[in-house]
Amino acid sequence: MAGFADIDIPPELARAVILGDRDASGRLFQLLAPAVLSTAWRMLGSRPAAEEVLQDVFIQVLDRASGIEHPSAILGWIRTVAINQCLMRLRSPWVQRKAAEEPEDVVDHLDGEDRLGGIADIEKVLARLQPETRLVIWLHDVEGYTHREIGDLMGKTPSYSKSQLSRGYEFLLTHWQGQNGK
Amino acid sequence: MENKPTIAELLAFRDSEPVAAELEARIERDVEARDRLAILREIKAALGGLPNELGPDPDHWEKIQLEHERRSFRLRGSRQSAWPMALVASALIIAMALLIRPSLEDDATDLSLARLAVLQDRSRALEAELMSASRHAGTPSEQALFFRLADVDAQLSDVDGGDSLSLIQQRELLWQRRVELMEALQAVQRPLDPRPQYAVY
Repeated sequence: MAGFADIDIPPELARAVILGDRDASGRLFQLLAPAVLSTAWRMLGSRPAAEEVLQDVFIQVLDRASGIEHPSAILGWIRTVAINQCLMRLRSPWVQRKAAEEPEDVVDHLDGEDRLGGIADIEKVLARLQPETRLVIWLHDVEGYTHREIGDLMGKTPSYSKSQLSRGYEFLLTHWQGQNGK
Repeated sequence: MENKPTIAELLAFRDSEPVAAELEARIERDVEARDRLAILREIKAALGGLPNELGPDPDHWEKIQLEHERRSFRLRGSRQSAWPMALVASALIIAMALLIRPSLEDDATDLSLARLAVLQDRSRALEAELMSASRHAGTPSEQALFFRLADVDAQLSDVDGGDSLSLIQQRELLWQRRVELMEALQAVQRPLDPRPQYAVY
């Protein structure tokens, strides 16, 4: 499963991390790194940026996990930290400038192999969306955030989240139709 | 002729948001809308089913621990560097037995704020120069620098707000790093700039 769904952190491991056990933090890293890395990679579209997010998330674990009161909250806390780290990178003027230089692709300019050949190629097309649109789709459809939560997170309204979701799906559907000729 | 349901309406219906009964009936009557709805559901399921296929490098955890140590060391160092001045100020205060000077922390804070202002000015100037060059971040080394800049910006957001000395010193370190990275970026881009270089006298 994508993202953080279905990840189970044993309570004793969470407790040890909160108590500052470095080995336990290492085990937690092994358990969560694929989810953090893959999520950040899909949101940011870059492996080096995703690795930086992974690093900063676990530096925060080492620095701040002691402030978590309940072991059961650790997964949600790490997910929130990871998403915030991605969002902060997307807001960086450098990333925004890059996004402005590379407008969203249009169907006519894509090779046939880049169209959605069924579900398997969805990732390729997802990567061609504008970063904020991709982020909204991921948060809503995979991480289960509501439009209100996404709006709060991004400092925008729920309507903004809805419009980004529609915009993203418009793009995904166009590619789907390009492949299937509907 | 009846209006076709929009993507936004189909998504709202797919996600079980409250929708008008009239919309539900419209979707029910429209074969094409039902097909699109099925695809929207399929795409959502596909997104949720994407595997977490990226794994960290074998030495990633060791690197993170080292970076953590490095950042902690720099912070400790920056705090320690304020000590000599604090001691001098302390001696002065005791010797004069007057409270006409601001507190020790205020002294260190003022100094940090002054350095911070200089770094921010330098950073703004460099950023303006780089923006006006309007070049793409093409080479891998340029891209790496851009990502490191984004990383610093992210860390700056972390320590934004608050006027404690510790936070101001963290900001100072990060602004210093930002300036260094932009200078590096400028150095990387300069050899590719086709404009002739003139000496300034």
